[in-house]
Amino acid sequence: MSNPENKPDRLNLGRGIIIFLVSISILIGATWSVASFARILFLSHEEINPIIAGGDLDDLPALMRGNISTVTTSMVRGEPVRVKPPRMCEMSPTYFDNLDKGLKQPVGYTRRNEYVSPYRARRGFLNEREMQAARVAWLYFETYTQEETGLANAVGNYPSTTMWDTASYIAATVAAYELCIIEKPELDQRLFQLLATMKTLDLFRKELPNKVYHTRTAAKVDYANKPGEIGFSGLDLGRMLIWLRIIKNRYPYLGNSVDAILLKWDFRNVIGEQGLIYGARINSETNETIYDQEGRLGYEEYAAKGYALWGFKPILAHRAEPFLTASIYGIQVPYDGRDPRIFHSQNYVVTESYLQDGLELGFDMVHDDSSPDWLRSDGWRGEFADRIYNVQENRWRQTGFMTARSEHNVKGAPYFTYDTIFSDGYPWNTVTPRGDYVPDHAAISSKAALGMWALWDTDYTNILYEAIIELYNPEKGMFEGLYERGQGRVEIFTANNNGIILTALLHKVQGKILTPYTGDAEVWYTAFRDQNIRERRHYPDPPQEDDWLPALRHSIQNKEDF
Amino acid sequence: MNKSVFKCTISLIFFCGPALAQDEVAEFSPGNAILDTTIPFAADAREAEQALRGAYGWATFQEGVIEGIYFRFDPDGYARFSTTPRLDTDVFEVICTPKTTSCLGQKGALSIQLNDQGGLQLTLANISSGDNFFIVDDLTELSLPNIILQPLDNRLEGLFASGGELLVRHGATETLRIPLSGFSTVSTYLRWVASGQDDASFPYGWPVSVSKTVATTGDLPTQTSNQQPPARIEQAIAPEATVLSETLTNTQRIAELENQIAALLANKTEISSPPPADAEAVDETSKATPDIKELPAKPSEAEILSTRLNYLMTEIGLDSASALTLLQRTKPPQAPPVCPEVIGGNVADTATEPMEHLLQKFSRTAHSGIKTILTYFPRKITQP
Repeated sequence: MSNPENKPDRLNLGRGIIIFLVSISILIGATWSVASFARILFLSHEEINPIIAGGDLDDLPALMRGNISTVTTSMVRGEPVRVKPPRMCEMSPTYFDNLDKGLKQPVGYTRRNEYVSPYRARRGFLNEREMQAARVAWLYFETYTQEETGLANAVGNYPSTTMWDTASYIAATVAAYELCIIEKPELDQRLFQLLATMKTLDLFRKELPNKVYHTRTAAKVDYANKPGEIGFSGLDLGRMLIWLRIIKNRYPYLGNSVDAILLKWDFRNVIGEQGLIYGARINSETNETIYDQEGRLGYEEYAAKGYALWGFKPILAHRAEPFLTASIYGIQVPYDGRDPRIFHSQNYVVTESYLQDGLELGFDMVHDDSSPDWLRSDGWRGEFADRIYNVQENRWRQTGFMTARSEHNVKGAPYFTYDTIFSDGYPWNTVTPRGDYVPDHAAISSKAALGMWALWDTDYTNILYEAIIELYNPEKGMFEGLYERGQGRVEIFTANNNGIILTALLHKVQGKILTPYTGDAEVWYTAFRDQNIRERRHYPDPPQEDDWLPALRHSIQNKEDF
Repeated sequence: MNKSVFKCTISLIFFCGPALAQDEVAEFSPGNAILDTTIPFAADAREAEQALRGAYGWATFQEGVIEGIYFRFDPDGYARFSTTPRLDTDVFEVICTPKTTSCLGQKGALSIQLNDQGGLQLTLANISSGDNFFIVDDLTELSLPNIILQPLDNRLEGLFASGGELLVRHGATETLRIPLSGFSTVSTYLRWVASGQDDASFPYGWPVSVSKTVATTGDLPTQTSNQQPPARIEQAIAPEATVLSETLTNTQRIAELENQIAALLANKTEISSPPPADAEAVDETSKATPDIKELPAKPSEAEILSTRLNYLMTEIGLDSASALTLLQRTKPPQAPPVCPEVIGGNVADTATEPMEHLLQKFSRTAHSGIKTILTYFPRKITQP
């Protein structure tokens, strides 16, 4: 039973506790206020955040910046890092059953300027026809790789190559291994020999690799394939940088060999202060080196990503501007806005650079190591690529011409054509490098057709596939293409064509080819820290979030503009 | 089958373009170079570099424009000629056998090639026996003999070079029509290549640049309109042109010559008046029987005048007034340089052609010719 006399005591106790707590609170508040006031009054100029050596706030000297981590989206956003897919022969039969294709995602730009395409890439195991095409494409490199140097000929048995075509050879080697056409001993033998040769290449005026090398001797040569030098191509080197990063990330044991090559190169002139890419050539009268801005919309952004993958900041080269659009079959096709009459460089619109961006980099920003395959984190690139695809499908639907256009070699004069979607003010303009209009050389490019087939899983690309998948010589490789006007096959075999075809087939199996870097420090970033070589050659530090190239968007085309 | 037709067909089998005869097409090799692209083919021509993606292809080429024909050629002789800077329409394409100066010019079904004697051999695709050949322009239609399928002589070559279109009819049906624009330039190019780029292979009046140094950057003739006036040099020119230059330097003679020209133009009106009735009868007879044996042995003065004018304007490139002046100052030749009847076909048409029409027919050639000559002697003309 309760005692009624105890009630007032309990109430008093309760009140006392409340008063005590309130008093304590007031006392603490007053103390904090006084302390804050005093701090503001007396210590305002002495506020110090403790900086831990090597911590976020530590402004490291150049000597020590090499071993900080490269910052990627997985680190900043806490997202899981993408994982390198297994080789095709090591995949479980159910590998593709639960593949996230993002089919329910709304189409368009996201808040971060990523782009969700209405199309999805084609994914799955290769069937026997595709494996046969892959084997034949690899046969090109088995046939035309030079034993002495490990370099592969760019065109058939002509013993010459460029950095662009050598990157295609690396691409083919990676694909052949991942598709289980070759095994690791052959992969290692080929890549180690190639990388060793690349390290010994005589550079153009001690800067960067010459445009052309003789594949049997690895000597730098002129356009007649005679010992000499021409200059360097910023675009070719950009593609090479992409593939060197791909093999370094996929096969970390190659990392030192790759870094050793790059640490011989001098990048001071290839990326300008504004972030544009430059190539070099020789003034025939004065023998001086001339540096010209290189790259137009399409190739320029693709190459820019190669430099960004190694920490450079090609900010302007990665932007689409200046660009214009031409309305072709209802599609606003983007093309470079720099006037060829002033800049003396044509603005060819072809499929290739968009394909390579999609296949190798997933239309992603280079710092993106966490987004799913269906999300294109380099938004405008992904959206522009859809336009490049759409205009070609529309041409087929409205004229009946199967269309998959790219640059391609031809047998006999003029030896090379830019088979464009748009150039020089004309749609479907097929021109030679010297500017002749050669519509007879218009062709369905094999690499463009299979690249589109891999990246755009549509009925139209199924037709392209049927046209191309058996377009090969079983002893030499895949043919360059199929003439649009019915003259038959483009009977020439090239490293670029066969390399891109293998890349497209690998993409079907593994998706985006570039995989995240799984190591910590890189020699590329730590070397020469005790010398001034890094400054002289403009070697970068590991990129941080502030160094990321911006993800941008441009006005989207929602419907055809007939 | 007609021998010429057979030859033509065989030629086509072997020269039907890079896309159609892949097995016959050689792969690229720097050793296939037969031309030095720094040596100009014409006054406005210059060497340019082309942006190659690799070493498979020619790093340099030459481009220019001559007599309204734009051209580009590679070190292996591969060339394109067209009336448009883009070289996209009405194209004459030249392809050379690798490492040789044996080249073939093609425009549609028409092919031309030099034979061993340096003569032009013309071939036509898809023709059959019974086909008739004509050269047509806006005003006239000139029948041609089948000997055009044999090596062309100078007169036939001159006729083809004068322009117009080559027309092939089977009965009343037109089976082929090929513009002859660029024919003259291509035939000159073939001879220039065959001669190892010797300037002596050029016809009279062909403008050649002084400098063999070339611009590798900047505006190019076939790409922009910002061309600098070319430097020129004198080269061997015809005696008639020398006479003309002497004449033009004497300013006191100019007024006198103008009076003479006025008188000659008055005579021209007289010549071009309708012929008498009997002349028409002769004309009709000639049309019906185009056998050259039936032609009069000695041409009339009007015919001589006509043929000499023809020669001066087509071969030398003078305009009508200058040509007439020269006729006044030079002796009549022993034999006319051009004999229209040998061309075959409608001889009487040509022989009785009014002077007015002749002047119109050759006005384009004459215009460019006189421009060339005036360029050689600009200072002399303007000095008192």
